[in-house]
Amino acid sequence: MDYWWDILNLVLIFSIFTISLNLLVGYTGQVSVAHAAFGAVGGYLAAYLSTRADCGFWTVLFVGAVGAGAVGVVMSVPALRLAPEYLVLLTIAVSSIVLTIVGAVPMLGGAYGMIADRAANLWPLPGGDLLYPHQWVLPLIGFTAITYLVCHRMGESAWGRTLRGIRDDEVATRALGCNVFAYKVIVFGLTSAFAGFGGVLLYFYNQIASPSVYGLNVSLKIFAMTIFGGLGNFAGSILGAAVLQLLQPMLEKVVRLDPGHAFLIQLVIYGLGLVVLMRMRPEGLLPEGASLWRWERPPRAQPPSVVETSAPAISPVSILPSSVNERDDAILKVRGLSKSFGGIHAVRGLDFDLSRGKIAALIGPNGAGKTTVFNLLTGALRPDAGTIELHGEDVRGLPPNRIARKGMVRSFQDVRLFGRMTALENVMLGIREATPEFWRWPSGTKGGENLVDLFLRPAEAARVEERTRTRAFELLYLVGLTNCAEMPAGALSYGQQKLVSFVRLLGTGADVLLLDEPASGIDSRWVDGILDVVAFMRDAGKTICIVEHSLHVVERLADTAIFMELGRITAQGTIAELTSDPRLSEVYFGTV
Amino acid sequence: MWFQQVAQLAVAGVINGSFYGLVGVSFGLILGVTGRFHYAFALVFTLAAYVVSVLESVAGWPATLSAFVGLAVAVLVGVAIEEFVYRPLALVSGKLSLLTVFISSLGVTIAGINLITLVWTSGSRSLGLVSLVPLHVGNVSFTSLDLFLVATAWLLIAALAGVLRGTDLGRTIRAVRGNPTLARIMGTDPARIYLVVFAIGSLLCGFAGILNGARFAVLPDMGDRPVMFAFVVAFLGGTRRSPFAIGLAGLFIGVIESLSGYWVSPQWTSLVVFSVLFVYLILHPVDLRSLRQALSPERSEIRRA
Amino acid sequence: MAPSDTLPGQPAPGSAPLLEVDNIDAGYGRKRVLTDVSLTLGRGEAIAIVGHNGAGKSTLLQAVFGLQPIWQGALSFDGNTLAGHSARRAVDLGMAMIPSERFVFPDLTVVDNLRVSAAGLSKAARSASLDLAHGHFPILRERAGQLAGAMSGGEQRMVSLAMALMRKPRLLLLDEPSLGLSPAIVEQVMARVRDLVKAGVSVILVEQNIPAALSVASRVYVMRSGHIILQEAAEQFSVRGREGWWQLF
Repeated sequence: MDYWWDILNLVLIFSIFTISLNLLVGYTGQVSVAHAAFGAVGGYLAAYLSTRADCGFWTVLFVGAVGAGAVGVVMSVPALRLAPEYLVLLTIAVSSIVLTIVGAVPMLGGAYGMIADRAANLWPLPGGDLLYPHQWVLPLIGFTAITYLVCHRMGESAWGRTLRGIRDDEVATRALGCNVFAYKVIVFGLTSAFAGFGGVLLYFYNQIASPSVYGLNVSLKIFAMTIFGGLGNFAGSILGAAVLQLLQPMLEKVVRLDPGHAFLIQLVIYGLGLVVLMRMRPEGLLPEGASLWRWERPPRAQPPSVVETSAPAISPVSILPSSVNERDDAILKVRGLSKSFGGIHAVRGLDFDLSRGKIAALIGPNGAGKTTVFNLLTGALRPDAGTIELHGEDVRGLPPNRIARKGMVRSFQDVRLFGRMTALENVMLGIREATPEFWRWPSGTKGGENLVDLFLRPAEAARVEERTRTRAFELLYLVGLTNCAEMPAGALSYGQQKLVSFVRLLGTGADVLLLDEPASGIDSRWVDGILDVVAFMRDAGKTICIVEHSLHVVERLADTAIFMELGRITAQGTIAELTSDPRLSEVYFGTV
Repeated sequence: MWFQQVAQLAVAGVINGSFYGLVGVSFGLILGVTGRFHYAFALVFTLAAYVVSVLESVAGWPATLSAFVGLAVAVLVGVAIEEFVYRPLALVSGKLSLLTVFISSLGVTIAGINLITLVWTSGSRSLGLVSLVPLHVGNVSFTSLDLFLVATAWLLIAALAGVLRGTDLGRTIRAVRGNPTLARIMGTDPARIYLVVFAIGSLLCGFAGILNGARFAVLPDMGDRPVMFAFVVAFLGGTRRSPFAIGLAGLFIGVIESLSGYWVSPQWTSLVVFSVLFVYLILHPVDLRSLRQALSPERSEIRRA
Repeated sequence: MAPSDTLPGQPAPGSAPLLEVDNIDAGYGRKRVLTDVSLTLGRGEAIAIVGHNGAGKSTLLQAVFGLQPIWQGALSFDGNTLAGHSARRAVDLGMAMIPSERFVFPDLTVVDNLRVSAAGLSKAARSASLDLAHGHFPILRERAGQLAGAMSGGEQRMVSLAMALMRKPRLLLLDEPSLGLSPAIVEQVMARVRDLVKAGVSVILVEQNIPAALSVASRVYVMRSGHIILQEAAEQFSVRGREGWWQLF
């Protein structure tokens, strides 16, 4: 009977690993194969402190978790900018470094590790020393439950929505105002802390901490368990741990293999399982904007749903409050903006203003620098010189999420909705209620996006969530897409996706909207509807600048046009003025 | 006195470095042309050594013949992995093929290494390649096997450089490496070139595995460290450069690793190497992005007008 | 070009069109880039496709060449129906394409660039093509050993033209050859293309630079937002003048 209690205990311990890894990989899209190495940090800290410093169980549990979490935070910082495949490589390197250290430092026992000199004792909780497997069951259920509850709360909340945004499209998430780096560091720290937690438990359970207990093989086993169980599904993580942990016992008891062979065959099955899983469910691992519908021939565009822009039931003022009352109409003032790449001037000495309630269009021949301007304004690129004054404040050099919070956002040429989230969730991700309290960290907003409200003030978080949801619904109603609210955004037609992306921008409350090719790629039947929505946003008082190549569209939408050639602005005025200028015509159409 | 110690370490560094250069070159060829993070390199490496060792000890075959068969197996397995595991997966994973291929590569390696352990046990095996004759120059000593290693490693590196530079196949490989889309426009089938590159890379990898098995022992985990070194050397040397550049990077790593043994005990030297990788990954995220772009042949790089 | 150096595919008046594109739709993911696009190309003809940035011109070329899958519609080249074809098939049938960017192998020398473009041809055929290329583009012989990546934009364009001609194509697809070039160099490049047309190579030229396109093409298609909105003879299009062209973009 002890045999089966033992298996259950291992399932519970591994569930702690898989649940936390799921939060990191499944929700946040950060693929790590170093999870067992963080367990090593926890386990070895526990081993050292309990055998050499005579510390009690709870102390070493705490120190082990916190220590592993700290290492996780340290690792996350260089990882912030790495592409997914390089992140995996980094985690392999970290895993190797940690294991080399614990395997080489003599006072950590070298290759043989450290043997425990006492059993776990949960004092002041009753039960005494945990010597037998059946004594461990209840405590482990408790520990696993804690892990589950914490990770579940994080994953299935406003916080989790932000994580999934980071997973699906980090750039778009940042452009909507989320401090992506802070979220990543916190999740790395928390999940590695849980891994350390599991590592301590593993140490006390096995009564030994050695490199082989926490090796790369074990990390890959945990990874396989997490994927088998289903990314984004915590109950699945427990199931995955159970199924895979049962592999070896099944091979021993049912197929009647000896333990040595069972161990090896189990590993072979893991390996092959990983390969098969990648083939069958690669979407389980896709962190960035990948579409499940990529290979499907898109259906003939559906008839557009009614685009209600003339008679929304909610008055525009309540939907689109502007953040600041100003007498000055020029919301955005750009002076002397310049940027070069390796000697080539992409953009030089730009001076222009964007005014409230007006649409300006950037036009010009290929390579004139129009997209670079958007990237500079939104903080995706650092200008070499010049100022960008938004509501009178110079925002040059700020990261995209800060500029978004200050009131300037952009749409993308390729829409960049979060394909696996519903249309409603997409819009909700843009909506936030900023507040100045410093302890609402890291988002500086009310509700589940900050850690305090998330864990300590659930009622408040729930109220904020409800308000966000209602507001998002109102925005979808504005463009007649309420019937699509619960559909995954990736299933919508391209035109519908564009509309959702526009109202997502509206939800941020930003005053300045930079729209990149708003009318491109849409069925001709939808173009009028899209243009009407953009015009509506202008009439509601937004400041809009578009990059459009079709002068046809520009003529219908724009109040003024800004002509760029070779990185400079050479003319501003109405479309009629610009197109009647013979020199501009020569520049635009070329000469021989 | 210390000079002799340093000289001995330096020579050891050159010997190890030549080995690292060889694995770096073969890994870098595969990575540079196909973009696959071919962790299963460790499997091909180990499998070749096992085949040779088993054929020698169980079938009693001479070293040359066994080595021949070992290399053939390495080539077959390497090509099979590309054709049956990587390519179908890459077609489905699109933009994220780099990541999914890497994960499946890890899976193949786990499965393969443990299969090897199942069949041939985890006990250490020996591999005889050339007769071991101790040699010395001045007060520095090494063996005939070491000399053989250095000679053959650099011969193979030079041969690869020659093929890439002077043959039609080599030119096509470099074309696919440098601009895969244009290569496709010119009518080359990248998939066919990938198979050729995996064949060449696996040949060199298998050779390195056999050398490693002869120098030390044939064990299931013998490929773990070499594949890490191969990653590091390939990155440092630059996958788009001539094999000689990567070979020199390997020498550099070998000498650094060896000389650091003057100050720290041997278990720590591999830490040095992993730390180099770690630091490199931290310092060059921008370079890596452009490398990644260059390495994604499945993605069309043609912009729309 | 001397008559003895002419390339095959001399225009035969009144014969069937070389290329027919019938009502094709195409796009990326859910994004539609081409809607109901049709065009025809006669043997020995040079046509231009003009329009604003993002109108779908490059995508159309890629669809013809097999680099872009087609959602609906039909394609046929010289009597061969093309569906889901690869670039390899297009090359075998006698097409060649020069993309708008990255149109040489920068790490290879000039002569290696040419050799790679002729890979698969017999040694004799390759030699003959190389000699021909050297004849038309003397710069290639001068710079044979130079890395293509170290050359100027205009020189690279010449190399790319020579590369495309190595297999003696009947149809040449050119994607914005004037991009990034000064007017003088553009004229040189267009002059070469005119020579090719005279020698019987059919050309589809995608261009943002309209005067340059008109110096080569006899017919013009105008694209806007994924549609073809106009088809005209080059002279008529030229007569519209720039004021007229603005209306179409």
